[in-house]
Amino acid sequence: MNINSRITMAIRNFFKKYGRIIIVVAIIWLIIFIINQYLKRIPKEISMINTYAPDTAIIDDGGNVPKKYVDTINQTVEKYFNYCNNKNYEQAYNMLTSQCKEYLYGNDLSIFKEYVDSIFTQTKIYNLQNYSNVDNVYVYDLIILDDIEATGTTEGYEPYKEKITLRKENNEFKISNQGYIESKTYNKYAEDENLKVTVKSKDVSYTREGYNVTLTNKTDKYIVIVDNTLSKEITLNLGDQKRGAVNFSNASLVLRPGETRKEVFIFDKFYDDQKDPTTICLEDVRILDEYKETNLDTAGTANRMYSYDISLTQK
Amino acid sequence: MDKKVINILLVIVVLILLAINIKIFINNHEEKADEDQNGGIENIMVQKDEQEDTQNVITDKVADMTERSRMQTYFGTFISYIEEKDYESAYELLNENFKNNYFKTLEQFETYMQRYPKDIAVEYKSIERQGELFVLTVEIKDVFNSDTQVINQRVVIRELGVNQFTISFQVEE
Repeated sequence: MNINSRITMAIRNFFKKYGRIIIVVAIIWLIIFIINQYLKRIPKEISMINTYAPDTAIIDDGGNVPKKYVDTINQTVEKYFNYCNNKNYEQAYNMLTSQCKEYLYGNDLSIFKEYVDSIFTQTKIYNLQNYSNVDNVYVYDLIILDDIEATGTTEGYEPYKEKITLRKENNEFKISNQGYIESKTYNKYAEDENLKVTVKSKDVSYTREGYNVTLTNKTDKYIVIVDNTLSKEITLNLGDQKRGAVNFSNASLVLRPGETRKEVFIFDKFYDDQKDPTTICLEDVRILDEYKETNLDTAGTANRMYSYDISLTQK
Repeated sequence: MDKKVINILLVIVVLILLAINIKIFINNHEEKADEDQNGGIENIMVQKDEQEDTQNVITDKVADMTERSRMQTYFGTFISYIEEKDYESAYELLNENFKNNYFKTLEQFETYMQRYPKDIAVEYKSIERQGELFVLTVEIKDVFNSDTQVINQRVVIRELGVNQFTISFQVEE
């Protein structure tokens, strides 16, 4: 047998023996090759570092907006903003919560119109950032700007920011604007032989709570509650701490004999701090026969001085 | 034993030959398809491929950057067009509404841009995010002449995608 025949024989034997394996391996290889080519042709998805997360709360433990509400909330704000931008006052006003209409605008559309006109002096743009979420109340920062893309900030650059809150009212998202969140009715009262104090309600913004209080002097004497001669004369008890009323740091609260007066006690308190106020305390109620503004020692000259608690949790 | 080794080697050789043939077939097929599509203008194709490759490298590089670096890169691109007097490319980067407000024509834009130094140095004072927009506060100086007036300017950039953006800026009238 010559060399050619031997090679031919060897190749024939080789393919007879390994032909099937070669075909199987080749098919597998071909499949891998085709898949590889296909994957190579799929456009590469390029992701970038992006710090913009408008639907994630800025505050730690600020909760999340449920995914099912994200689009609805964004659409609601867009609709409200466009109404304001286009001066469709009534449509925008109707998107506010009933409490907001009452508290901020006294149920008067013309007051809301004034607000809109003061902010929307020209066509504006906005951006929205979720801030905090508590008990199905979603607090956002709404930042309103001139159309800086169209002006390049030539006409100025002064972003206006306010907190807005969205909550469901009659199965529809409604807005509270200008930082106002809600009002809560209390109708709690405390009474003794000298004084009757009723806490009717509170108005809540993201950073403060304002308690609407009626005080009645039942005596024929003067009752000094605040004259800034003592520290923290009105406090809000939050369990682990007491906070002084912020709107009496330069004011006095003295009830004349038999006088009834309505006041608002304002305290710093974050809406999402998860602290429940338990009492409002008039720390140093002083009863005096006579009162003069020049008296800087009402504590020393009072007939009686005592602290007076109004429980906010009693039934 | 020797016979087994030879057989394995033969299997490998056959598979390699098969692979090379398939690869050559696919390459030929792709080239032919490209030629059919573009009338066989090979030079343009090569140039286009090179441009695409360069663009891909830039895109990948920009995608890896922080937001701040990306904004600096975008404004840097705009400034380099101005330095190269490629006003048309710079003009194309402008936001449409901004163009309509301040530079309705390329000539108006070109005239305005004459106030910029020939060799520009940019100092970034602040970069602030406003939703999907970025507001940059920059100082524009002449690299070689410290006596010339510094231009303080705000620039607004909207990032449309990786290395895709529009620009508007504070115009001094």
